[in-house]
Amino acid sequence: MRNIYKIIIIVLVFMISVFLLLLVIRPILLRSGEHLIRVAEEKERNISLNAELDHYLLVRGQYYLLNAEYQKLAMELPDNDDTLILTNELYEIARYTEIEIMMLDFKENIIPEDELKVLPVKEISINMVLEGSYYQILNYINTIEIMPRIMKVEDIIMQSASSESDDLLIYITAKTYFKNPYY
Amino acid sequence: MNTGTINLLPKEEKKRDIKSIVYNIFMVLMIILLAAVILFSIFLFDIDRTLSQKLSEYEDVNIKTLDQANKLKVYDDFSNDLQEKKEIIDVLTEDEILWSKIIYDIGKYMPEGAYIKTFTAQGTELYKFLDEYKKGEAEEGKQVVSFSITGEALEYKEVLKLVIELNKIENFEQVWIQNITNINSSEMDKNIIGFTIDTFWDLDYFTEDIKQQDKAPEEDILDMELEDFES
Repeated sequence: MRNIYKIIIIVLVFMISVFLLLLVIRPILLRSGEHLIRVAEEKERNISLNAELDHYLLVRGQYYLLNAEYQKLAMELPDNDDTLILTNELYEIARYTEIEIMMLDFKENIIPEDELKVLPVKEISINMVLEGSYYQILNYINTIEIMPRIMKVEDIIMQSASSESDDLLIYITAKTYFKNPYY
Repeated sequence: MNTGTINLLPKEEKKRDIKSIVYNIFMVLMIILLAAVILFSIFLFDIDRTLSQKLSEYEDVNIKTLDQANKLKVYDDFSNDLQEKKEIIDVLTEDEILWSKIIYDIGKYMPEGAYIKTFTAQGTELYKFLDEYKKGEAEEGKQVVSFSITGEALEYKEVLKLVIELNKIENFEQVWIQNITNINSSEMDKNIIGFTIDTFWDLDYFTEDIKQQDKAPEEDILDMELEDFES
């Protein structure tokens, strides 16, 4: 074979090799590298998603238990600020303790914005005027203190109702709370 | 007779074409290179295909897992809501005063010859102090009134007995006789004792478990230095 043909073949083969390297191998290498990174990312994501899923499944497994606890807590700190039920509860306790409610007064206290962020609640002040015997009053205060709803008895003024009877007149200031849905 | 021929021509010398050999070597090398490049391309194609397959598998699985996780997230939100509610309730119910117990104790310890005319309980003051204490704004050495009693007794000893008994009630730092006055009772037709007693909370009992907020680290260092200096 003449040398000129050999040179042509060498140059052609070299050009084909370079062409393959630049136009085929390089893009595949770049794409493979990208795929490799994405596979590693997806693998990581898969691990974290599985861990998240396991956690959710665990929580779902405890749902009935959590729901029962939530119902109990919802009685302590109701979600809706409905004084209807509260009034009924206070009158029911008064009926049970045979005490007479002379006055009930509800007032929503304004809580500063910064405090609301820490403690997202609505605060209701309740002023009560009651009349009854010492033991009836004791029973009433004790019952409202231990009722499921949070009821903080703050101030009490107790005095004789009249000189003729043993009954006492009692002024109670208490606070109750509702969950604030806006925080 | 045999006659032989004698070649008298000079021997042909074979000339080696070095250029041609070099070209041949180069040609072979180039062909090997091309073959290697082709093989490498095939190998890379195969790897890339496997990687693409794996990637799409992972993506499919992750989409499904994410979908499932999103569906189950509602349980986690519920759990967080529950936890938040629990924390709020814990804050709201800490240091709650049980007045019924205190009123019961007063009734239990009341001497026979004394009775109460008015009972004034002031829980607001304590709650206000505790709020201030949490914010680090509470006044040091402050006394907070728990309740005041005004009443009447047949003898001053009954008042003293009452003070001694009230001291037995938990969480009180001090029971203080505000005043004792002699009253002429027209109903009983004799002199009786009128009294006013104030009680003060033991604030250390309420504050020992409370973490103070917003207290600067410098203040802590100053407090420590002051304690060291005093000791």
